[in-house]
Amino acid sequence: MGDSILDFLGSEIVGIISPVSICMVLVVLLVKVLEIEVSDTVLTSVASLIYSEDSTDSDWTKFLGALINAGVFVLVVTVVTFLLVLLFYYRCTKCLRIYTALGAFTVLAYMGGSIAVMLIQELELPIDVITASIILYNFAVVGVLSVFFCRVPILVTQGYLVLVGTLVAFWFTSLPEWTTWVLLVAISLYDIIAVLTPGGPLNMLVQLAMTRDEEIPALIYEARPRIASGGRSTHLLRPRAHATRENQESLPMLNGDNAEELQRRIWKRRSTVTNEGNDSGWTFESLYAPLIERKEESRESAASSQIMSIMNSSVQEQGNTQFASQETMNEENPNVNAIDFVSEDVDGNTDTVEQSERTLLHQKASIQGLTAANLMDGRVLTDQKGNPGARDNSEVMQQHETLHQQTASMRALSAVNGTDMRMSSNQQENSDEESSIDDDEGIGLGASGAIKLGLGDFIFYSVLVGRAALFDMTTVYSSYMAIITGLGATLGLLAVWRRALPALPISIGLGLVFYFLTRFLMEPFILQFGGNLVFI
Amino acid sequence: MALAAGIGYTLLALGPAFALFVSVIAAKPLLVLFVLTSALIWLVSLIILSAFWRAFLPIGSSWLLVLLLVTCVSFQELIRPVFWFSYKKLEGLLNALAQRMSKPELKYYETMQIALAGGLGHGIAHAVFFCLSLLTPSFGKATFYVDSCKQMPLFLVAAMLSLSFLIIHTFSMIVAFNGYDDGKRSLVVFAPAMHFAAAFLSLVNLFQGGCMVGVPLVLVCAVGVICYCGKIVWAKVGDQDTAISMSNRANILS
Repeated sequence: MGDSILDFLGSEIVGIISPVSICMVLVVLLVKVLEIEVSDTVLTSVASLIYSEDSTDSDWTKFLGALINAGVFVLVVTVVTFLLVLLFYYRCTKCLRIYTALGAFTVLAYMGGSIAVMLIQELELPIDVITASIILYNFAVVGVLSVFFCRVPILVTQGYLVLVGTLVAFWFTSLPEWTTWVLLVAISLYDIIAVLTPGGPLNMLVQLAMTRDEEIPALIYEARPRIASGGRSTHLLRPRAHATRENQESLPMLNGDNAEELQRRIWKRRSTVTNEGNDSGWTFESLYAPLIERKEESRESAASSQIMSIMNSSVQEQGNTQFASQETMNEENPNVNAIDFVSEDVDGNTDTVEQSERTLLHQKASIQGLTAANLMDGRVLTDQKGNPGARDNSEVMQQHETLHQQTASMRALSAVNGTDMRMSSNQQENSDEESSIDDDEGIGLGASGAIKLGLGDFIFYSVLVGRAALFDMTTVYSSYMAIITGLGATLGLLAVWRRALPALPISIGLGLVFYFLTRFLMEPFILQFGGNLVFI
Repeated sequence: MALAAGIGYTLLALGPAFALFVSVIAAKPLLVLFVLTSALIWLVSLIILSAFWRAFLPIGSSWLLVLLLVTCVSFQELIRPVFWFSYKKLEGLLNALAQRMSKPELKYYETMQIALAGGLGHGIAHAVFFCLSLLTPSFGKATFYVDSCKQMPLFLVAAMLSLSFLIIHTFSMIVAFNGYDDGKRSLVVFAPAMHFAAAFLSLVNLFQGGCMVGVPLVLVCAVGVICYCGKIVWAKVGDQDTAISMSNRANILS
């Protein structure tokens, strides 16, 4: 039924849980299929520069070695993030974007390639080298283009982002065991410090992006909310489309064939009100933001509007949106980023599409700001090729760290983005009796805007689950449940606190706790029952 | 045979759950969240139980096993009213939200859908931890028979038992919700009773050759739960229909 409350709540949360779950499932599958390769591969990376774990070492040596490794890793990540902030401060967004694109290409081509080779060996697939290399090359190029440069159906972008996360996470699971656990803890702590403390690099990045109205270039997964699955969304869209003139004016601006699809990818906003008694429901209205009013209001939050415009230009290349194509449409106006936002003028003020687009961009920018920060992190990391004695692997690892950094920042950004959206919707002061649905912060559901999660979060969640898969499947299931719970809790906190939040600590903390509890307590318990065919 | 066997056992245990999920739950994100929440609650209860009983494992004597069974099942059954209480609170919130959004309040069938989601979460968690964890070796090239059951492979028994438990968990949650809502004693007691019955029947598997008797009996329990649940819900929906048509008639007449 389309008119029950059950249909509307929680779709954003599910929209972010699904890709995280898919990424984790893929990593577990890869780990299970390639198990032999994983345990044999000695991963040379920054994370094992100093100490290479040996199974013959004593526990204490292993622990110390792991600590040193994790410390080195976090140090490198910190330094690179600061570099990222510096570069962002000096507005080198173009080079940052291109750098991230190169990094993504490397991940897809090289890491994807090695994993593909391992899979072909393991599964004994009959394929020749020429075909394989052509396919791989195309795969990598399409991935980079879809994430950063071109406008493609959002599923493609999301799919490639999930794939990038999967590849990096699979690579990281081949780190030695103790190093992995200590690294996860260290990265979560770093995340808290970087995002929440005033001097933290990610925090500074976010502030910079907000004050400048710029987008942070980063790899961020964006979960676009859909109104309803299938054709229902069109139903909801149609009445609205006919309801206001403005909509119809703006609609033609969108590419004809993509219009409908674009409408579906609209950010969910608070219901803004329409006094037109449109009964298509709050979702539709909430999808269409009265950007005009926001534009004026957002002047107050200069950050958002500024971020929007700047971010749009930089973000477009970030590739987490398909705004790039729109950009080509309006070269002179860097803020024009029409596509996914359709402005709806609630009070009947007519506005040009361009202007509405701008406002759209503005809003987008604020959200993007955070993600940009993340990307910047990543970019700086990848820029840093001055790793002495860098081998291919370590460079690749650098990029991993970059991506991971990016994801960290992206996470933060997503949290902020969500909040920014709320803040801008709050500012809108239409004297509308049907006031916005702002009660959902209380339960953290139905939050405004699309939720953005940095790719680094994907990666580290999947690393935890992948490492659990190397032990047994029970640990996989319980760490999966724990991570999802942590993610839900973080989203709830996001709804309450309205600021950039690190998504790693709660999930990783819960995941680790559940992993060790399951490994040492539950495993024998279940074996006791299952082995005797007694079920409770 | 290997991959097919593994997938076969998995589908045997989780096929109905998957079908229920795709047809009823996947369309509504809130129900998905309910499934995840109840799975988490079940998992936490299992961890607490295993933490408590860890010191006593492995269990040799069968009396201790019976005690273990009793404590575990009672603990899980205690969680059911807790689940129902928190659902009630959430229902208040949801209805308030529905009013603000000018949406209709939660109807009966939606409450039942939420109950289904809750029970399904329990059932899936149970199936995953008790069956899927055992099934990992079945993806390999051989099979395995337990000493006490030479007629059926371990995996088959585990799959069938977890299928019946999944059904029991899912539908007894619906029965329990109905019971708590209406305050009917018989319904409230039904869920724990069937759970205990099924658990004790699975004890039959301990005997030599007992699985030939135990597994069908547990399956019978599951069928019993479904029929009872169907009967209850059918009656209630019928009552509501009658009530609605009566009030309509009254409106027309007046």
